[in-house]
Amino acid sequence: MFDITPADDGRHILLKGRLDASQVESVRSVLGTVTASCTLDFSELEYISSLGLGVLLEAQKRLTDAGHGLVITNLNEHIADLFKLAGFDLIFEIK
Amino acid sequence: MRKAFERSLDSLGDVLEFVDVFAEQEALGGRTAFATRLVTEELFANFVRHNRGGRDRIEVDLGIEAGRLTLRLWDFEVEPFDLSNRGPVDVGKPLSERTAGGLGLHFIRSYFDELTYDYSDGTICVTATRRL
Repeated sequence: MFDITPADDGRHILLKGRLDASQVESVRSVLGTVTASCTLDFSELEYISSLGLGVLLEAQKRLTDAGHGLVITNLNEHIADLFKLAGFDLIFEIK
Repeated sequence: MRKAFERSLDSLGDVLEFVDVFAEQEALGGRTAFATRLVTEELFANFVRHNRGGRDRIEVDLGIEAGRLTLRLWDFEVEPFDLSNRGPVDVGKPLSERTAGGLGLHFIRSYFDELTYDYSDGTICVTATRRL
């Protein structure tokens, strides 16, 4: 089960559940509408795999080129480990 | 425990639930359970996306023997495709030079200790093991 919910202000997005490869298009669709710096709240995200990380990377590149960026908050310990393994702790602001 | 899944990324919810059952049955710790979910998905998704030909089902087996967790996937009637022979990913590159390619294999190698590929009579069998 996975869900992605943008807040009304367009600056916060909550991700819930398991972001496996079958859910990547829904994330790409939501992140494609983001045009300024934005916070992704991972407090209810249990799991993510490499294709999900790839979508985050695409969005980060596009936003950074435009002078913005994604901030990722509330990673659980396993996802935090995964970010370090992928070197994503170097290319995203993590809080 | 072994189970066949439809060759589709839409099967991943069922694949991950299969891993959950195994993890609970074997009382795997949180990190091992997470690693097993991740590596199972990465291998399954790789089969779906890259193997050419193939029956409509991919088989997955999980087991523990002599202190090692063994994950094995079979894909039948396919052309050879060895995912294990790709080079390492440079995770220290700046954002402008990063791509997502190869991250799945990077995670498999990071979380599991061994990865072997066999191809025989049109069947790919990939085995990943992790010391417990």
